[in-house]
Amino acid sequence: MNENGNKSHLTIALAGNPNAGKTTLFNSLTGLNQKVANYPGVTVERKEGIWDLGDRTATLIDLPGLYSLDATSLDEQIARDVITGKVENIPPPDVIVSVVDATNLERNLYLTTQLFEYGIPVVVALTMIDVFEKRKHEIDIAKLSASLGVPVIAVNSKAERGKRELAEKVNALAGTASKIPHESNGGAPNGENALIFARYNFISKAVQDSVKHNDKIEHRVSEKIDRVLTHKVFGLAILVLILLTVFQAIFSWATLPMDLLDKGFGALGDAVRASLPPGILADLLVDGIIAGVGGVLVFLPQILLLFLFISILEDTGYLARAAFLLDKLMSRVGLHGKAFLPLMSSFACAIPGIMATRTIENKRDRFATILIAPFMSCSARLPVYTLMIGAFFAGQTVFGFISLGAILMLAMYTLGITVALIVAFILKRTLLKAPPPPFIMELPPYRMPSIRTVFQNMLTRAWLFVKRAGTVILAISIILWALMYFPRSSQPGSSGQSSVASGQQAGSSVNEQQTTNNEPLPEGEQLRNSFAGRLGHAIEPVIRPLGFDWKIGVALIASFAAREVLVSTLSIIYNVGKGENEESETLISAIRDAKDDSGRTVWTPLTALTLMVFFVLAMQCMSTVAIVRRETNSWSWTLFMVGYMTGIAYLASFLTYQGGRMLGFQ
Amino acid sequence: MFDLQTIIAALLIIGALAYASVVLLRKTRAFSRKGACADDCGCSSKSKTPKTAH
Repeated sequence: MNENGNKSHLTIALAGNPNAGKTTLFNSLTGLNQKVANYPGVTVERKEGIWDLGDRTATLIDLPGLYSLDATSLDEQIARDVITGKVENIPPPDVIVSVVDATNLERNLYLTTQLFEYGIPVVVALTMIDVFEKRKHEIDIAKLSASLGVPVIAVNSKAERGKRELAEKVNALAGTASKIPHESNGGAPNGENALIFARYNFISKAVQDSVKHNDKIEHRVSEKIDRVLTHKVFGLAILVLILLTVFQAIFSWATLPMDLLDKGFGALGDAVRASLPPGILADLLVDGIIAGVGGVLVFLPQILLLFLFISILEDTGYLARAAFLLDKLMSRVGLHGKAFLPLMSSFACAIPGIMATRTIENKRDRFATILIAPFMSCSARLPVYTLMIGAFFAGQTVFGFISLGAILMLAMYTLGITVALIVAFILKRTLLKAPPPPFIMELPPYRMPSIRTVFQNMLTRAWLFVKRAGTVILAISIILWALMYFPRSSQPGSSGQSSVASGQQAGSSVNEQQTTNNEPLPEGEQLRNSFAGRLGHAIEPVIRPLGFDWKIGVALIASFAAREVLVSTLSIIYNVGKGENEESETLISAIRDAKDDSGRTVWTPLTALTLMVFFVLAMQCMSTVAIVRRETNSWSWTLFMVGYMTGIAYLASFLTYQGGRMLGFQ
Repeated sequence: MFDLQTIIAALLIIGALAYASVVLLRKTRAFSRKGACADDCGCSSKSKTPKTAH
């Protein structure tokens, strides 16, 4: 107690919505007197600091950012426990400072009305007031304070505005009894919904009395656009149209730089071959490194364009509208609203997407999202889709103007989403049964995209792609080349003696040949006798019903390291397999011309489509498997995911290929 | 005897194998379970519910 008979040290809780400026205010009030730890037993960060109030001090507790105190998430549960004094070593707060973002007053005040109901004095700290005033809005703080029945102080941490006044109000209120504003809960009939409506009515009245918005026209336009873009029919149609346009642009704009890169790598290969004497190093450099890494790097223009469009859509605020549209669909299958962001991130790469599921509180909801995230078509699948489309569907149009490639691309993305929703629907009704909690989604205002942000995002993704090509894919290309090059076999001098009749005989015939003479086998036969060739032949019976030969089998096995390795493997396989006198050709023409052991064409449009379907649905990514194991902390769930995804991929590819053949396609 | 081409090619293959092994080793570590620290600050995967006084 101090000389006035007051407590000499207070406990103050700082509560507010995420991004309301709470941490900035906390730092400004406490300076360097901070301690960061976790709340006992959980990974929720606990920040405390000493706030000098003048004649006494206070421990300021920065509560986790929250939208409400409904205790549906761990953060909300912790905040509620702190306010009610249930957390070890933290006394119940004497005063709560409710941090309210002036630019989002209605939403932020919802938490404040809940804080009123705990019987602890509340002071409202109004942040972002500079942004609010810059937008030419007006606020009568005295009126707002009177309507809410608590002191309201406008603060600006950078300008030191309101800090002293806030300390004075907190000092004055500590130890006093608080009363709940009559309208916030009075008159509300029993039931949680009625209470929510009563809180919002109270907020609405308080805001209407004290705030004058001067951007009504802007708001009205934004609302009108939203009515169309989030409409359940027009909104979806516009989403499909936008995606089609994006894919069409990716295909048409990327063609020229891709062709140039392809020819460039081809020319580089020919130049290296010409400058080196024939031998193992020349073969490794040209058929292994240049073909493998170059085969993947050719797709860089498309990756750049894809992320350019994604960044623009995100920065304009459209992606949030797309999220809103799909959220309805997701909630119908039982997915949590918070699953959208992880799933959206998975379109770039499943790894950050799976890590982003940490925001989902319920374990079952979280696991359901993790298990379906790899169905989203990540950027590593793009080279596979593009190669297949470029080889067999390029230049074809539907209705004379829509590129067939763009439609197929959209179909692959849609297939992934559809299967993910079906799986989620089944999982949420069987293994991961749990009701989806309610979720409020905030739609950001429309704005012009920032060129700097868009280019930064695009270049970051492009750099990751190039880095991967220069490290992991380079190493895998060299290893794969070695597996396709060794052992070197030789044949008996007499013509007409086929060294290997079939894959099953490969092992024994190689040994016999090596002991007879030293004349090397033709390159095609060398490849068939190689380690990779034998492995491919071993799995051929399993993949034959999908229309795949042993070379595709080798590429499928290799692509488990990373999906885009399929492209580099095919590039190496068709380079290693050709004779020394043949010139380097593009991968697309090599695929079109490829023949199997019996001389039949290996690749048809149906084979290409089947391979695309397989890649949409199969779990061909070692890194994703690792992250799923870490995030679920369970081998059972990880193996279950690999198993069910491979099963679905096989079944869907089988149905595509055999169904296509039954319909008369080859 | 091995010629220079063979030696360089062998070095490249060994280098690629070594790099791939390191990457694989890192991935294997990612598979392993998160350990707990001495005082339960909440970072352990074993901590699931907040410890609160009632």
